[in-house]
Amino acid sequence: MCVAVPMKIKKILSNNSAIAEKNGNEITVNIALADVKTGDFVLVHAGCVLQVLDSSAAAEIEELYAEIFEGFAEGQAELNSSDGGGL
Amino acid sequence: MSKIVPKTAQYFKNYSTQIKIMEVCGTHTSVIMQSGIPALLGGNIQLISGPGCPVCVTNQSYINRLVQLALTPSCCVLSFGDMLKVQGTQMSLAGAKAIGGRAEYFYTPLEVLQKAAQEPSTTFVVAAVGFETTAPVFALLADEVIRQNIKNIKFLTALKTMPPILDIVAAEAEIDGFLCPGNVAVITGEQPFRHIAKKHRKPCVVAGFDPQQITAAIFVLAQQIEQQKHGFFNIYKSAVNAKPQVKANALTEKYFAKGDAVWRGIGLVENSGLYLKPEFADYDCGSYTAGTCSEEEHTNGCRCSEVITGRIAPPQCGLFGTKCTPSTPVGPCMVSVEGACNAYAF
Amino acid sequence: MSEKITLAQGSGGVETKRLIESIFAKHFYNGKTQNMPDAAIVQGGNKLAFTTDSFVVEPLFFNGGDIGRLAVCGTINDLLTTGATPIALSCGFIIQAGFDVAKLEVIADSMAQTAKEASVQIVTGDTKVIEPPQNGSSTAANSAQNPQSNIFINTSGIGRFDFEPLQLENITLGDAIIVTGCLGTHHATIQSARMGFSNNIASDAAPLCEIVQSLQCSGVHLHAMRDITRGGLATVLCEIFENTPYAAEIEEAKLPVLPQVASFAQILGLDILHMGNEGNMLVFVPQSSAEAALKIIKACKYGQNAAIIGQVGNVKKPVLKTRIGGTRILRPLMGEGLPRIC
Repeated sequence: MCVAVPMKIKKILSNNSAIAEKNGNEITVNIALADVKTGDFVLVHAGCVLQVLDSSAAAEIEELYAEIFEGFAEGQAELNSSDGGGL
Repeated sequence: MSKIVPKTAQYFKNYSTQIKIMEVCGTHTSVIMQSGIPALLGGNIQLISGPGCPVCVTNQSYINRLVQLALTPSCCVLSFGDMLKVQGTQMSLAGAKAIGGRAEYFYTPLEVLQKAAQEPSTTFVVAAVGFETTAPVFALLADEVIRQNIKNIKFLTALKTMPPILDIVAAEAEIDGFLCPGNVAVITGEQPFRHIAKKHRKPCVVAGFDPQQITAAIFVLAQQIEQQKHGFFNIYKSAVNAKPQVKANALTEKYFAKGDAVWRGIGLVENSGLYLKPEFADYDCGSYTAGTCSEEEHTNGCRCSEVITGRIAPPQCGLFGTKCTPSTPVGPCMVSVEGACNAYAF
Repeated sequence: MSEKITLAQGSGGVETKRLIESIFAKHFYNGKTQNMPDAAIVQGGNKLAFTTDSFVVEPLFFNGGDIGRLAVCGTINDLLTTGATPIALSCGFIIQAGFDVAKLEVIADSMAQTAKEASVQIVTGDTKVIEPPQNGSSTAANSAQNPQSNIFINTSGIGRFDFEPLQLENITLGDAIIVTGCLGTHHATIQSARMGFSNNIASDAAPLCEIVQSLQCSGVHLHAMRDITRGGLATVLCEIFENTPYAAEIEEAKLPVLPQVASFAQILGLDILHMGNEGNMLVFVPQSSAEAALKIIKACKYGQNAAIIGQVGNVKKPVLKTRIGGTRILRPLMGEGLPRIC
């Protein structure tokens, strides 16, 4: 239900619209739902920006993956994640 | 990240318990099938495709109403491309086109604004279908239409929300864990899925749409199930925050209110639909009626709800291969190209 | 002559003659109009390849080509897949009154240029003019209030055999599978134009004579060829291996796809394997000839992105090994392959 794609904001056109680009494909997107600026990576769904993507989170995920697999390998590590149990 | 699949391969192969993991979102199903992930999971981890395809779960009465509008003179129906092939009682929108009706597809519903301005004497009906991810997009459109009082744009909505149906499915004993819809979570935040994990004591992972990330999510779920834990994890943090997306939700709530909705092949699910608020009734073409009309007589024998919850396999449904085929689908499991029954039929 | 095609020009009289002289004879027959017979006489052979195709593409003009180029390439490439040398084409036009004559001229010129590139002659043709579109009739690219006049083209072609004819039955277990170009490019071009997407994707429509004839002259043992048109690679493979005891095993990582096309498909939720081309050939050769065949193809103008994508293996249905190491059974395209939200 959620065909959406990360794209880069190439140019802001107005309060509500911008040009988003991915590998040479440029489309006009509605930016009313998020605070975007030129150069941001954004999630585009049906011509609308739903979210500015947080690239620092990517690094966080890499750490999470590393812990997942170290934990798996050692059979021991507990990750602090939520109620109901860690890994 | 590229090492995830090799690292998990042995674990999946050696997994000794039979478990069922539901991937709720239609786009997850699509990526899973296109990436060939089921072949990586060994024999004991079964992926069940859930009801998270808003196109596939539109009930026949809604399609019938769209078909009727498409065949009405001076009327044009606009929808997402995959809506055009969904069958109503007699035909799909594509079928209506073939007999002279007007139905066109868009990439974004906002395209209707230009079309409506170019053809003031045509009424454009927007088939507003989607989950929480797409509701804000239609809210943006509604915002324009209503503020400018555009007389020749109307909505026929079949918007649905995830929590009510997830609640029902999660209560079924058959599903052991949930791969949660990443882009829905972008809008709702983590909370609805944390809640499912806690309430039903089943692990839930919010993941994005990269095949490696999906594989990692399945790995986490399989581990949790093995350890009899029911944790919640968000591994799509680049897009999903703990909190809901403020602007998107505010705009959706401005124009839409909750109501009951019939899910194709499943039946009525309370408060699972979104409809234009009564004060905007002028811009609606009978969405509530179309969306709550039950169609026992047409879907008699459809067992999608049991396929979706993993209780039966497609061939066990009496309609499979006879009344219900890929070109004449009854329920969502056959409507969707990646649905359990459609994939099985092939 | 008028700027727009009129019904009179289709009625066979003076106006028809003038249309043929000023456009078709000019571009196809070097201006010759005297003593034109009703049928062309062409040098043939013992066996002939014969094919036909009709073209109704919308929009008529797009990045990298137009309906005219498509009409010539499509039929020439069909002849080439049998191993035939294309000799001659016919072309029939059905034009709605009101069509711009200037556009017709561009199309005719495009057809002539493409035929010349392929060393094939357009030797005969026909023209009909039909009623203009009515108000209320519309297509995706049209508005109901202002429907554009349209043109439909049929081309038929004959080819002679300078080499052994190729048949799909020649495909053998173990054969290497080569594609001569990047997947889905033409489909992406048309879809981009229809939806007003801005990019540099251009149709790959091209006559593939150089590729086929280079292979034939090299002595490489060709088993079969098929062009990858509507429905894309998955559909073509499913058709080829529908009733065979073996099928294609291909690798996603080896499929040539332009990054711009891949991203375009992602934005619209399209599957590259169901997106077609107009200048891309599947070639089946014995495994031992694969590298040699690839080298020959890559040296050709339209073969620079060629790749060996897999082989014919002991599987029941065509199967794809995905980039992450998974397995996906390929299915033919069902429906129209439209952009999706779900």
